[in-house]
Amino acid sequence: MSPLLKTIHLKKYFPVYRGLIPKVIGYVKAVDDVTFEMDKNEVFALVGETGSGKTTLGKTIAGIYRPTDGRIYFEDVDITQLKGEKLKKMRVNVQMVFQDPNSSLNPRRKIKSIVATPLEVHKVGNRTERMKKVRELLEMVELSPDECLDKYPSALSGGERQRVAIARAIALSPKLIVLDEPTSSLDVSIQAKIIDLLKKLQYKLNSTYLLITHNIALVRNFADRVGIMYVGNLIESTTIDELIYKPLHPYTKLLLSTVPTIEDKESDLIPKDEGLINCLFTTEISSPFNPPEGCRFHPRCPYAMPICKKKIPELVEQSRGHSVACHLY
Amino acid sequence: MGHLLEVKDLCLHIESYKGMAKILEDVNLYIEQGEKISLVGESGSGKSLTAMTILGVLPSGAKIVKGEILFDGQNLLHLTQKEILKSRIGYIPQYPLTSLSPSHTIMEQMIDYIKYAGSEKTETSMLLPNFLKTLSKKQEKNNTFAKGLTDILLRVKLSSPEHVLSSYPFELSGGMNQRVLIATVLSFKPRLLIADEPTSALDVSVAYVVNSLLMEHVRKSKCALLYITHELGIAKTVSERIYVMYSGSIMESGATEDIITSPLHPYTKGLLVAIPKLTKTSFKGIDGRLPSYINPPEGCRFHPRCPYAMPICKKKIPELVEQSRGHSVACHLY
Repeated sequence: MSPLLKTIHLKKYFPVYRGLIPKVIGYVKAVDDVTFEMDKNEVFALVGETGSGKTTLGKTIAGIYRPTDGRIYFEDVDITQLKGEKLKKMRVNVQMVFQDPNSSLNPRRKIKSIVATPLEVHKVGNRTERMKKVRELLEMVELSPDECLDKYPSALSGGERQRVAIARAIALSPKLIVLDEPTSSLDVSIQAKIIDLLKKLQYKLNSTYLLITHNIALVRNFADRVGIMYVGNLIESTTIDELIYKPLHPYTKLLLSTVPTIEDKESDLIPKDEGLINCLFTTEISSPFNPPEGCRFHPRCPYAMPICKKKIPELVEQSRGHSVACHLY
Repeated sequence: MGHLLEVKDLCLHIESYKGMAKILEDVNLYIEQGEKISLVGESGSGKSLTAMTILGVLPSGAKIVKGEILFDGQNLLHLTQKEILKSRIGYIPQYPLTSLSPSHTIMEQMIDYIKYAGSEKTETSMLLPNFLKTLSKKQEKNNTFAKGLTDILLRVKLSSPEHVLSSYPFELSGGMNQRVLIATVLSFKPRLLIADEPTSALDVSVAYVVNSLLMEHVRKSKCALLYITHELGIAKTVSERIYVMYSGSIMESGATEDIITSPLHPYTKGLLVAIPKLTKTSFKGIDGRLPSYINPPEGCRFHPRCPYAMPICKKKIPELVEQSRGHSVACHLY
């Protein structure tokens, strides 16, 4: 079976201008050479810190950004080459839920108009049919249509707003939904509710999720496979169980060792590597504008070898389904 | 007697255009000398306002209806802001970038803070006379001062303190700014440090660094800590005791171990279950939403969301009652 989505050497650079007559002085390499695959009906999580390029990658896949270089295949169709009507049709298949529902919902439009927008853009049914669909969608995200339809986003709580954003994303029954930190602006008691809803919807709609997040504990409870990103590179990709029990890349180990835990059983799962943790105190994350030569993690890595400073490691499969980009392996 | 800080029956109302918001309802808490406690609650539970009341920096329209805040036997509500600062209460804010001025360098701001809050017993104020002596010679002044400030910054393991001193806050990362703030505040040897979600705006690994540095210095300087957070996981690592707050009231308080392993209040239980865990044990949320402060529900403010609510919960506000040694809960179930 061919994968639902495949990216090949995907790159997204943002030019940086300087001077009175703007001149390009360099590029922010937000996504640099990312190759990965997603299967149907799976939840693939992209994990990384601020500035690692995970959101840019998500937006590029959703068609919001045009890639600088590389290919994105969606059901074996190269979507980077599509234009006009064909591109519009493709966009039905990929929808996105954004991080902050306060800024992704227009404050001056009512909920019914927000949720109906995708239906209008893609000319689904007539007015009454669309209204009926909007009511259905709101019920699917467990909101009461009678109460919400005529409200403005400001009258809803953060969790309810995120539900509206989800309703809008599933309006066209997309095959792939990009979830960009869907719960990071919410409280934990609400976060669990939203994740619960997303799980139910995935089962009901048979959709595939690309989850972008920095919360490994959340990924553990929601995703099937994980990709770890660091300054624009995908450095490790594996199943979630492998990631917790057998992390390979030093950066992955570092991320795991800083997760705050509640239960004693959890802390047992955390790798304890003093050398790695010490390097956190003295070094800062590299900038994607001026990344170091070779492996981008080498300035922070206690295991760095001479080759790490010269050659960018490639993502190589170590065991079935577990790839890592590190010269140690 | 003996408590370093004691908040007694504090009630705070804020005037808004929709009506009077009853924010804090009979908040009671205490901190012993050198003790580390944390105040845990979700957004809008009133935990930051509790801290702001202690520091005397309330927003306009806020009114303290009842209660007192005793710091070393002195009622803070009767003091001015500057006097509060001089009584050696330190504060670390949530967003370092918005609490530092964007148009002054780190060095200028550190000097500013030291001039404003310096009291005689602290080491940074020892720098002040030197500073005044060399006022005429600007270069020299900067050098003497920079030396002292560099030492302060080195304590939070910043790798190039000279560079940090001459930078503006936006040139530094969030974690570095937060480290600068921690270093500055701790250079006073505060007796009480209030940290208001110091790491919630930072990445997990940076948060880890900031928290470890903070705890290291708190331990070393033996100051008391009031750590405000919404993450029980962080509260577990930093504090000896936890206060759980919901909708402006303290719901439960006790030793960290007791709260985490044997929570009593349904809200605390719900919070613990709602946190996703690495062990993949099931997690689920709490139904409903935070009640409005203008028309809070009668009785216990948690009852509309509580799965165990009884008729009495709708009528009577439960009081914080000690159940076992040091473990108190405000719930009619007990």
